[in-house]
Amino acid sequence: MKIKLSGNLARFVDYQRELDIELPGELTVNAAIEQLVNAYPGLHDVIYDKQGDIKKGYLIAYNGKKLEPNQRDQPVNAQGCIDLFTAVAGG
Amino acid sequence: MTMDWQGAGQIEAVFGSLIAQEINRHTVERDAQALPVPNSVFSALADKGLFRNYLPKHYGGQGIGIAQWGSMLEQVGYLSTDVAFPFLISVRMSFILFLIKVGAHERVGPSIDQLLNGAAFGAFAYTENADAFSFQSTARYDAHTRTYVLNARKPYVTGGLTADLFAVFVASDSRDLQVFLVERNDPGVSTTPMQLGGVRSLGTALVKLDNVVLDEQRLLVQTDGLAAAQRHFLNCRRSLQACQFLGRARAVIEDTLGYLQQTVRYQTCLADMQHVQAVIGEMYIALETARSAVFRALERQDNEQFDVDWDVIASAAKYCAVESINQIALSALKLTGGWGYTADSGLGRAHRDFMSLFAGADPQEKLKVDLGVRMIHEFELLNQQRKYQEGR
Ligand SMILES: Cc1cc2nc3c(=O)[nH]c(=O)nc-3n(C[C@H](O)[C@H](O)[C@H](O)COP(=O)(O)OP(=O)(O)OC[C@H]3O[C@@H](n4cnc5c(N)ncnc54)[C@H](O)[C@@H]3O)c2cc1C
Repeated sequence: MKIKLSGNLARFVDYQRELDIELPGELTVNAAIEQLVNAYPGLHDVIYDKQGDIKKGYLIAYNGKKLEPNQRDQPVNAQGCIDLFTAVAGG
Repeated sequence: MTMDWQGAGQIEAVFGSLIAQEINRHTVERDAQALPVPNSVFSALADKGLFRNYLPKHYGGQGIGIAQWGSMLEQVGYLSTDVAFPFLISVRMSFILFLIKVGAHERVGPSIDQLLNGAAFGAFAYTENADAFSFQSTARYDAHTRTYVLNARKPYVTGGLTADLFAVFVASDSRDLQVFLVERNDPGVSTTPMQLGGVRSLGTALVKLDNVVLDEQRLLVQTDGLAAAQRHFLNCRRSLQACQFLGRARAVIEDTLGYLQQTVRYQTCLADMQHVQAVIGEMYIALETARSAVFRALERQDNEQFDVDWDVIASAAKYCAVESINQIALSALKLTGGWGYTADSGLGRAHRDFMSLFAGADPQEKLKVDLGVRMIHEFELLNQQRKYQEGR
């Protein structure tokens, strides 16, 4: 499946905007993001907080539809696309 | 609330003489010498209950919304020739709310009481001359003594020279921030004045923490501190920051009119010349457009229609307001000839002050990029939705 990342995350994934992730089987959105982090460990601390939850401030969409945190356990398929966008930080 | 300008009578009745005596009489001198507005002025405001207006009701405050608070700051900005004064009021109040939001009551309660009573003042030490993923500050935990050792260099801390307490955002061992409550008197804390081009009485400081040892109780936010910074400091203040400047911009227009009405060229009062009237019209349009954007953003915050992490409307409002106030200051200078350029007119100082928000509250150029990226992203999501619906 495809995972798209917003520009300020690019440096953690070798400056790619769009990644292809192999799905080992039936996965949820959350599990697909875990697959992504396994492939690019530099993302781990950027995406997850110390409790292992996805940090607040991330906008996550599946096939173009934004998901609330409690909707991220829905299944994804190999043709789908997850979109990970960060809220922007600045003073 | 109505956002139509009703004058500043509400604030003038309670704080007018204090502003006249303690602020306006010293504006020129404080600007020239970069003297911070003294804490005694804020203590006097606290005595008159200023900070309780926007304090939540469950904390014994009046619980007015952020739009009404913004309106109060706008009025103070209008009355006070030194816009750094309401700027500081706004920061001091936000600091109180920040502690309420992120701190457990038993830990921060005593500090909040001091802040509300004007016995202490707080400041935010966030920026590091780096993007948020590249902060160099550190907090090392010692499990044996249950303490943290902090090292950090924090420039541009508004009110830092006169603050007693700091919310310090420190890079943690993971790529995130933690937030600590640091006291000025903690060994290893130092502040150095930073000279800015405008808002020179803010008491802006470089705050340094050299091996500052803190009890673990001082850790306010353990994890996901970047989100806490966004929600409770940066994003929620982005459009609020413009309010005092909107009040000052109105005063700049009025000062300009005062000059134009008294000045005759070619046997005609300048205010009667049509080109001059058109420029005044432009200034007025800029002001009211900015106010519409800012107060709409604040009302959305009150009505919980606001994106707590990064609100596009608040960001667009800040951008619009800062461009507008700077346009107003420049037009004022263009309309008023040599007088406008004298130190006495205060117009040049206003312009220097207004330019502070080109960088502060997120730089204008960065906001443009962020808003553009967001719009493109929304468009891409829509396209994706269409594509997947068609593919079904
Ligand atoms: C009056 C004032 C008060 C302040 N008060 C405080 C305070 O109380 N506490 C605190 O912690 N900080 C404070 N700051 C600091 C303020 O938050 C920072 O100045 C601001 O976040 C900008 O950071 P920077 O100075 O590192 O500039 P940078 O972020 O480096 O920006 C510099 C320029 O680079 C460009 N740029 C940067 N990033 C991007 C990007 N992603 N895309 C495109 N262009 C980009 C923009 O043109 C920008 O103008 C204050 C600043 C001012 C001016």
